[in-house]
Amino acid sequence: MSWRARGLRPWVWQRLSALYLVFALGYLVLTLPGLPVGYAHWLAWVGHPFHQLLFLGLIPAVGIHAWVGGRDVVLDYVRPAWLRLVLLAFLGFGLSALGLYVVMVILGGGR
Amino acid sequence: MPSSNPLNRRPVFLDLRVIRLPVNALVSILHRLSGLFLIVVLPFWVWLLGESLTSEAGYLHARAILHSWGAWLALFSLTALGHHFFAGLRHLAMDVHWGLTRDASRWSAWGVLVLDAVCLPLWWRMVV
Repeated sequence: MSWRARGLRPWVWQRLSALYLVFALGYLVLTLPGLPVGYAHWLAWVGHPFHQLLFLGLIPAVGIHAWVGGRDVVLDYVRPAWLRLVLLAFLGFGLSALGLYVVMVILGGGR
Repeated sequence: MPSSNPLNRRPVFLDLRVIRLPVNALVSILHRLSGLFLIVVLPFWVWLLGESLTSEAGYLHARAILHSWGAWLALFSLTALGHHFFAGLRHLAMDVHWGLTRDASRWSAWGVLVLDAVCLPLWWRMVV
């Protein structure tokens, strides 16, 4: 396991991903409630290139942000090394799997 | 843990009823808790996104969930997201050395809590 992600670098990644999340989540919260109801509308909205790009950007942003934040919490509160390893592996694989799933759903969603 | 070395015998003071929690400490711990909560509920929201896009039936299923027990999860998630968002903006402001004094950080912490409360009815309206 690589422990190179320490020091200032994860801090910077945390901030960069935060800036994207402020933009993307702010946009979603402001626009989604005004969306007309219906499967066709929903498919068209998600399939719009701008929204596809927005979601594809959310994958690394959420992944990095949740990874650095979750890692900080685990390293701060969990002492046993084996439990840290289990939790961090669970977090890392879980986030990667979710990311891959969203890629499939978003790129296949515009049918 | 009291050490055998008398020079190292520092007082242990961990009585949760007596420890003071200033407002900036409260906002800080809520930022962590809300972040942790958002990680926990993330798989559900990703699954719901997928379900809503698979087919018309899946879309209706996702809507039905959001109009029953999913509404509570949505309300909690939006509240947590709102708090994490505002408290995060406060941290970003501090990163560029804005509001670093003790008074300013207390005011901004109160501001985050007020924004949380102001947004609660908005989240409620969005969910119901």
